[in-house]
Amino acid sequence: MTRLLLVALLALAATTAHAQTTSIDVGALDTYFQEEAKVEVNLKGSLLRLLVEASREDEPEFAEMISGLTAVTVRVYPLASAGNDLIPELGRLGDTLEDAGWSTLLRVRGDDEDPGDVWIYVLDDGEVFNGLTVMATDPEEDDAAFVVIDGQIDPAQIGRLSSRFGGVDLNEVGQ
Amino acid sequence: MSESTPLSESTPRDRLGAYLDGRLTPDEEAAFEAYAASDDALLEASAEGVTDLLAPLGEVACPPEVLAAARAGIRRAAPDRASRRGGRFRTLRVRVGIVALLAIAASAAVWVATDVEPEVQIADVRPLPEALPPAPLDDAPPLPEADPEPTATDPAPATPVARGARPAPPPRRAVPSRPAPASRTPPEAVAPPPDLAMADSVAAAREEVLLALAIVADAQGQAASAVADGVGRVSDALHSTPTLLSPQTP
Repeated sequence: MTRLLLVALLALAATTAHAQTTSIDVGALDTYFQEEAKVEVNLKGSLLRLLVEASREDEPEFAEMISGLTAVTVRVYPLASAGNDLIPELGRLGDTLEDAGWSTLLRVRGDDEDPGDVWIYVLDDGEVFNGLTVMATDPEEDDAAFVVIDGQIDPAQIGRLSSRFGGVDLNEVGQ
Repeated sequence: MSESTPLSESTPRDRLGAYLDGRLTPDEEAAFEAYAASDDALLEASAEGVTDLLAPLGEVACPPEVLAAARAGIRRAAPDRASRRGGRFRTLRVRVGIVALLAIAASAAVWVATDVEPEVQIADVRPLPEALPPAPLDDAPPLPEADPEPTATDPAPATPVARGARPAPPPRRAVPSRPAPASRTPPEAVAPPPDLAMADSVAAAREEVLLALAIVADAQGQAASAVADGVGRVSDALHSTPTLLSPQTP
């Protein structure tokens, strides 16, 4: 009996540890939309490491930026295919993340001038982030984008992203 | 090997050195690239030369990542991509491709010379004519034996599967730096040889990571814009209430 209790406790501890480092369930995002994702990216493991090595010479800054990543997941859905309760649902997803130990780095609620909503969550480990989750809706572009980046990310590097990679047109990407 | 190329009477090693040093004229460069693409002997001779230079280093095991990077360089030097990026960089990219291939050949030669079990078989490395078909340079002289037709082992476009299904609409807004489409067939479903599949996978992975970073950056920009608007509104409100900004007058 004692052994059973010990095993149960260990299992619970393992589950809790897993929950603290797991971001949103991207597979469950399909339930919020009538149409399939127009962009799906699932990168992890050896392919990411290979990309780091392949980029180290020509793009050292890029290689350094991604060298600590363990997985990159992207989903982009047509926003028009979402139900009316998408924003509250995403808010609840954000609450789940916070309960799991993620910190809200940014939350922008859309208004008449800027109707898009943005959530950015990080797994803050002091000097670096151990994960980054972005949920963003853009009614003007009819996009709902989700990005989950697992692994170490330097906040300073994230700050440099805007000038280097900003301005992606997801409607064109999804074709 | 073409007997009628302008370089048929010159020494390959001399031409290679001049080519790598950038001492050839554009016409000579174009001719040399066509020559190198059709002459395995040049590659072998160069590999031998590099091997001689590396011999004092002893056994060297070239990691597969180096090969992958070199192959990625070859892919970037492919004519279809180079032509899209302008003529100025085309020669440079082709040169990088040839240098990368020479590096692969040198690594393979070192393995053979030192009986080191290679982590990646030399058979994975494609011959130069296949890896680097002669680029149809605008100012290049006619290439007698250049084969412009694609072969079964030509690198598959790094473009993900989703692209090309229908023409992409014009961008709805200014896009200073846009990654290419990201959806792609998993590496397991790719039919080309392993080295090409690896290079394709790396190229696609790069585009996918750039896409993810771009989305993050876009979200940041969206947030920054909202914050700026909010700050602007607060600033306007403060300026509209002068008693908060100016000292109280008695």
